[in-house]
Amino acid sequence: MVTGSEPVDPSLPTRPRHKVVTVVVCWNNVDLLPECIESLKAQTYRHHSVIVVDNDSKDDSVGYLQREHADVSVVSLDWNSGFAHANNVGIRLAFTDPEVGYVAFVNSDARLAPDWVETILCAAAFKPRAASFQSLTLDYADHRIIDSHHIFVARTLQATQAGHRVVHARDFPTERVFGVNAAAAMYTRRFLEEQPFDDMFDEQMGMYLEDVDLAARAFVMEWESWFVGGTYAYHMGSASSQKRATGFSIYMTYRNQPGMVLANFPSSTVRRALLAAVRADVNTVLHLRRTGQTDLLSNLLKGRLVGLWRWRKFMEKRRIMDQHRTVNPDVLWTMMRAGRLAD
Amino acid sequence: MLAFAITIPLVILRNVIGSVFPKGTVRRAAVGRMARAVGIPVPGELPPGHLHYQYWIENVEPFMFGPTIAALPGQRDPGLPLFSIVVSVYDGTLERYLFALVTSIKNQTYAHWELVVADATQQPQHHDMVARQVATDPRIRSVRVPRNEGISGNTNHAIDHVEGTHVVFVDHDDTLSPHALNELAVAITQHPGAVLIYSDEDKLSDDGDRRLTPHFKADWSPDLLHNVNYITHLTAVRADTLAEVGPLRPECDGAQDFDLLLRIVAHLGVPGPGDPRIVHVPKVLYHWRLAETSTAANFSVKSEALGAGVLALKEHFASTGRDAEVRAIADRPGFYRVRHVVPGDDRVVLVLVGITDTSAARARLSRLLHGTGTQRISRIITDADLGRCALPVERVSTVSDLLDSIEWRSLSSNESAVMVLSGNATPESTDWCDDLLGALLQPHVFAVAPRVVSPGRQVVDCGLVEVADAFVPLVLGTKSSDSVFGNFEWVRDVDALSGRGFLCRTDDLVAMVRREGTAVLNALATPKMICDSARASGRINLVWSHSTFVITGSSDPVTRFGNPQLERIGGTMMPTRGFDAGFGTGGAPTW
Repeated sequence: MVTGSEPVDPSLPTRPRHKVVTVVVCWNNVDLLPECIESLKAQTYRHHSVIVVDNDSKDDSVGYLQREHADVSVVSLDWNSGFAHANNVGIRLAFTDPEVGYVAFVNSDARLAPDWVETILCAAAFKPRAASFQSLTLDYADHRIIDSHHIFVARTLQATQAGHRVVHARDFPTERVFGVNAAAAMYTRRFLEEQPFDDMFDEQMGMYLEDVDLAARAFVMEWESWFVGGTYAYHMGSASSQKRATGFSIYMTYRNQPGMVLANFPSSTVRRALLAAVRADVNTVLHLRRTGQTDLLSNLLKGRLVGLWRWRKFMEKRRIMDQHRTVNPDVLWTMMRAGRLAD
Repeated sequence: MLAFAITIPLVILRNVIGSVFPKGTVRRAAVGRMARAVGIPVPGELPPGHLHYQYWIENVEPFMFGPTIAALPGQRDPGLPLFSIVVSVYDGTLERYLFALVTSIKNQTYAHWELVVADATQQPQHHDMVARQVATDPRIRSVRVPRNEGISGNTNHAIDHVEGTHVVFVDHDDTLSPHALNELAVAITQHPGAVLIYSDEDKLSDDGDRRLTPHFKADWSPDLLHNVNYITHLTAVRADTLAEVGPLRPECDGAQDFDLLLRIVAHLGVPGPGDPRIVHVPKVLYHWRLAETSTAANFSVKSEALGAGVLALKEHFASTGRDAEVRAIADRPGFYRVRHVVPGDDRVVLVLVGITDTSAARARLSRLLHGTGTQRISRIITDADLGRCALPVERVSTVSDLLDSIEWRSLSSNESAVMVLSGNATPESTDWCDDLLGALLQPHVFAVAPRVVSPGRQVVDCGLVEVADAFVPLVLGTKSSDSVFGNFEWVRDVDALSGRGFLCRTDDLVAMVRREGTAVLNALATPKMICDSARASGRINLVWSHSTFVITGSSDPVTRFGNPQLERIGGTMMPTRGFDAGFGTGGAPTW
């Protein structure tokens, strides 16, 4: 008896879902927008459109888009609602078209190679459990440096950017990874619609780690994230938050990390990793002191304390995730080493 | 309370050590060495040479893989092979193993594959685990096996359902390199006649974190396959050949892959070395997990494999019409000792040259003639005065006298082979002569040499390989028998023999010496002469490691050929034939 040849997904749509929508969130960076939007409009894949969600920019972002790019849909919010909320607005708008099958997220400080969408769609074929895809993301200024290969939660429970600042000496094959970096990533509609929550990106997090949270959620629900070789995105990194106080990123990362872990990970994995997590925190503090970045210490400690204080906010999510978490903790632990199969 | 008082400081100590000496670093390795010196085992310590392999994995291997053959999944291109990967899963399969295997197959850069899982699980939760993995890719199918029939029976259910051109065998707890199928496909397009394709492999730690102890295999060598199943993984077989040969045999469980390989080889009519139908891909494409129940970690778990291997070998020789004795080597599981029975009443001429110490040579002669030597050896030719002997001794002083003596007598007798001994090595076993002669009389063999070790069991001579126009020892001056090129106790197919002691056919020796025009008895057998003659005749040289000679006395220093680098990195090994793992010839690795 042969099984597995029948349709894997019983809720397969009756209409083709061939369209791709790219959501760009912008906040006060009209200087970067032109290159990003033009690279999106230059995509070789035809059924591709762009939605820009503006988080109440004080510069002329909306005006620029309306003047120069009439074919780009612009949603302008009246307050700075955070990166996660703006993305969710973009997703909801994209899903109003039933033929949309994929939603890509591109940061306003990133741009894409012209074949990015097309290459990823080719890789997406025959992957019924795929949740998300990313290509190799290179440094915006220096293409010899890798910005991101994939993201993962390490055995120290810390969100880790794989390949960050590594010299780009060779190409990497398509492979399954723990999660993808939302700086330039594509998500499948199948996955986004099967979320147990109303908001796809967690709005309690604001920004930072919301993509890790989504990746961890996908992994424990046995959805797959894929690194796709053969195409590139180029990313500047923290262009928006640089305009905030120094240490904002470290504060947000440490604030969101306990919530991300609490909401998604099985308790056996947390117990298994707890000692190493404490050790990693101590090492980070020691590293900051050794390198003289003592001004960041207060951000780190504040973020950690606030993060732990907010545990109640994430317990509700955890209770829901308990119903949907199917992954074997051993499998999760396997992928928490490098975020990919070791070789 | 007391338990806490003990465990908490221990946990703190472990964490401190873990922070100061992280696993997998040079520091940790240094601590491991120091601790081992005083007899304390250190968990997480890496095996010797591991860092060199890590370096190779990171800096050499990524650049060895060729370009990807572009193939879209689903669009079948008849010019490209379709690989049917078969794997048997049972209740003992851990989900993390199956996850790693299926993920590594989905990660393949080559798209034309199908995975057929023989699902012999009985528990519903294990069946669900298989079903979840199957659902992640339409190229994965599962075949329900109602009752667990063992590895062969289960895998045969999967083989019944394959649709591809080539069948690839994998185990449920191992993983593939992402380039594995692409490299196989490249090899198949380059060698259209290939029936059996195999690659190098290494071991994977149980948690999948580390790759250890690679095995860079030899090119196709039938004699080595009789000695040990060195091919194992990763193996691809043409589906039509597999259908002709028949599926795996449950009575050979434990050595079922060895049995299948031997039956394929018999089906191909025992191809000689260099046959284009058996292709070696010299890249590490398979990671064999050191799982607790796997053969890789502990062979005694599968001790029934020994009997199965002997059975498979015996049937192989019976089906190919050869007369050979087979037995398992007691303390080396998985190694088999094969002795080809000499068909007729063939005799051997013993030529002793380069004798400096006559009294020692006389003592050695009694060792040489002990046992079967007296029946096999018809006479002795030497340039020294050996005095009285049980056998006729002829003294010659020039090469032409020697050749005349050999030719004149051999024409009218059954002296089919000549054993040339120029060192002071003496045999360990009494049946060395039958053993070497049986190996020599195989049609594809030019010359056979025993393995030579020092009294302290250091390898002195196990064949020479040609590296950059120089002959270098395959291995030199090491006591450990395991290396990245396999084991030194294996039968080896080498480029040249050192001439310290070798056996070859009478007519071959005469032709060789006449052609090379040697005038001095000492130069009867130089490595270059043996190498060139073997190549000219299209045959191979073998180091027959089942016969071991021990050098006696200190007058025979370990001779080093060619590469002066070997002096510095003594105790390392040089590439085997067909080895191409990206090292230069200047410095060999020392793992």
